[in-house]
Parts: sequence; C-alpha cells; structure tokens
Amino acid sequence: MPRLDPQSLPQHVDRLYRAAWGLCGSPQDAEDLVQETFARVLARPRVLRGQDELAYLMRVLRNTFLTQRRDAGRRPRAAHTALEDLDPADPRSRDRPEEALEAQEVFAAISELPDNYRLALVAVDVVGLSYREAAEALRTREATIATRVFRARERVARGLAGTAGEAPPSKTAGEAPASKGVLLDEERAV
Amino acid sequence: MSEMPTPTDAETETQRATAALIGGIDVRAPASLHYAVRELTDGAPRPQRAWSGRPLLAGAFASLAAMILVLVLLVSGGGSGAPTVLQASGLALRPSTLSAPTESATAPGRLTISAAGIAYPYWGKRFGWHAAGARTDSVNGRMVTTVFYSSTRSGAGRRIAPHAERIGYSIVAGPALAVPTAGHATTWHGVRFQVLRTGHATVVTWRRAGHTCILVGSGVSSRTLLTLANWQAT
Repeated sequence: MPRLDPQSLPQHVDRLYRAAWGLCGSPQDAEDLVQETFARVLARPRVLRGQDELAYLMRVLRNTFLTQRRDAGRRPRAAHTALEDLDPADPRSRDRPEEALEAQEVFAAISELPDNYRLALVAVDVVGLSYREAAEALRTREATIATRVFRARERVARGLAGTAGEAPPSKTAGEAPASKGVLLDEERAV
Repeated sequence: MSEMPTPTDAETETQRATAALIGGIDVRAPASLHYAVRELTDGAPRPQRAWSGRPLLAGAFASLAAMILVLVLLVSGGGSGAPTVLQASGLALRPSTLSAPTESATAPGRLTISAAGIAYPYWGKRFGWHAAGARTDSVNGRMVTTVFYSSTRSGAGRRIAPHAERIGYSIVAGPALAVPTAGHATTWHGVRFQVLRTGHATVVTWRRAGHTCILVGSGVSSRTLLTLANWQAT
C-alpha cells in the first residue's frame, strides 16, 4: 500500500489554499485551515488507499474545515476581506490587484453556497479533481457530485451577476434552500 | 435519484464559463504558509522504504552519517559562527528584562535606546505601538538588543493592529547575518525584506546600516510588520 510522502506535499499548498479560501471565504482563515490540514496529515505516516495525493488532501481539508467550524461555531466571513488585507508576501497580490479582487469575489460567492455544493465545487473546479475522485474524497456518489457541481456553478454565476449589479435570476422550481451550513438533500433538488 | 434534466444551451454556457472562471484563478498561498508547511514536512517522519526490513544496517548508516556530520562541522568551524536570523528572532518572543525606553526628547520619532548605532523607532504616535520593555542577549558572541512594543487602543495616530499583542524588534551587532533562504523576499521603497513564518510567529528581517534587523510578532500580520519595518527603514 503506497504511503504519503511528506516531501511531495508542498507542491499542493497553493491549490489547497485556494480550496480553503473557497470554503472559508477569507484568506486569513484559509491560511489557518491549510496549516491545520497539513499538521493533521503529517502527524503520523499515512497510507494512500488507492487515492491520489490531492484527493486525499481534499478529504482531510474537508474534514478539518467541518470540524473547525463545528468546534468554533464559525460562519464564512466572505464580505469582510478587503483588498488591502491580502498578504503582501504574495507579490502577485500587489502586482495584479484586479486578479486578486476577482479571486476575492469568486471565493466569496463560493463561500455563500450550502456546504455540500461548496465542497463539491471546490473539489472539482478549484482543486481540479475528477467527479470520481471528488466523490471518493467527499464520500458520496459520482452522480451526486455532478448534480452538486451543476447547481453550485449556477448559484455562483448568479451570485457574481448580482455582485456586478445585475438582477439575479429568479430561483428555479425545486431548487434547494440556500441557507448556509445546511447539508442539502440534492437528490430532491434534481 | 432522478436523471439530471438536459441543460439548455444557455445553461451549458453558464456552466462552462463559471468552471473556466473558477479554474482560472491563480492566487498563490502566502510565503508564510509555504514556509509553515515546509517546516511541517521537514519535521514529519519519512515513509520507510528499502530500509524498513533492515533496521540494524540502517542504524549503522545513521551512525556513520552522524560521525561524518560531526567531522564536517569540526573541520569547517560550523557551530561557532554567527547566529542565524531564526536564532536571533527567538529572543523577540522572550520576556523583557529592562524598563521601557521612552521617546527621545531631541530626536522625535526615535526612542532613547539604540543598538549598533541605530536608534529604535518610536511607533506610539503614528501606529499606536508603544515601547514596553527591552532586553539584551549574547548569541554566539553577538550582542542582540531587543525592544518590545505593545499595541494600544488609545494611540492618537493611525492604529494598524488594534487587537495585536506584542512584537519584538531586535538589532544584531556586527556584520549582517545571512539572509534566510526560507520565506519570501519583498522590496518596499528600495529596502529588501525577507518574510518568513516560524511556529506561530511571523518574522521580518532586513538590513540597515550593514546590520541585521529583525521584527517578530505572534498573531500579527506580515503586512503590519512590514509597515512598521518599512516606516523605520525609510
């Protein structure tokens, strides 16, 4: 059974950071979440049970995120991150402020999604897992991931359109409620 | 579970565009996070491979490697040279042993204490960070002077970290120390700062008048430290 090699993990930091930002809605919380995720993973030797490294990390990130939020009773803080809060240690935050602002808006929209939609979207569109890998990482079915990602993209698109000043389209029939932190029964929504 | 309804062309385009937008975001993690993860991975146990079934042989090789390392250190004189920035930065998290210096009456914007000919800045009025104490240490034969600052809510000027705790500003006497390879370098107003994370602390180091300056804070953002360091450096 292949073991996780700690030395190969730093290559995933940027991707995990983006994923964490999408989950938390704040770059500061994302930094804490990624650090906690790696601390958990590296606390003892890990065995990859047929999983890709990235998929494994996504699963631990998801578990750490849910645990942290449950313990702290925290909610995503999407709207409170100003551009000047971006860490200047990332030179591209300074050199390309428009891109940083765009990232902030997109991650804010993602963080507004219900948990299941958010996790599926982050796993597929941010981390870059296949539907199958995402399903394994999030311990659900591939078809469920496909549905969640589809719905999540719709909502993010509407959210961003609303940010840009356009009127968001009316909700489609059968759509699940948009309350944050609620695990949706997306089978009902399809 | 029912089948997904066939999406319309407009829905398909929305899906494609949204996925491309999200997937196209190329924000990098802060250097401090890269550094923290690197520290974690370096300290993590490596997976056992070829040696797993041969502990005695592996132990013999480990002993041999240790002996070679000791020899190399003895020959090269390593271990008795200048302290590293990380060694010196640890002092900034220790308790103060001297009373708090005050603002100089003759040189506004500076404290009454200096090290290696460099006066410590007075950040109270501008940033709400007041000198709270100081200490001096000798590390590998180098004198390191540290001034501690704490933030207050009553600063008359601009507060940049109202909830922060304490920071330490160390100046190392003698020639500048080697710049750490870890972390991230950034240049503000012509001064090159190296930002790194160690444990829960953020460290900013730079050179001034040929000496190494180190600003360390726990629970303080690198932006705050850079702002303070930059103000003093200009």
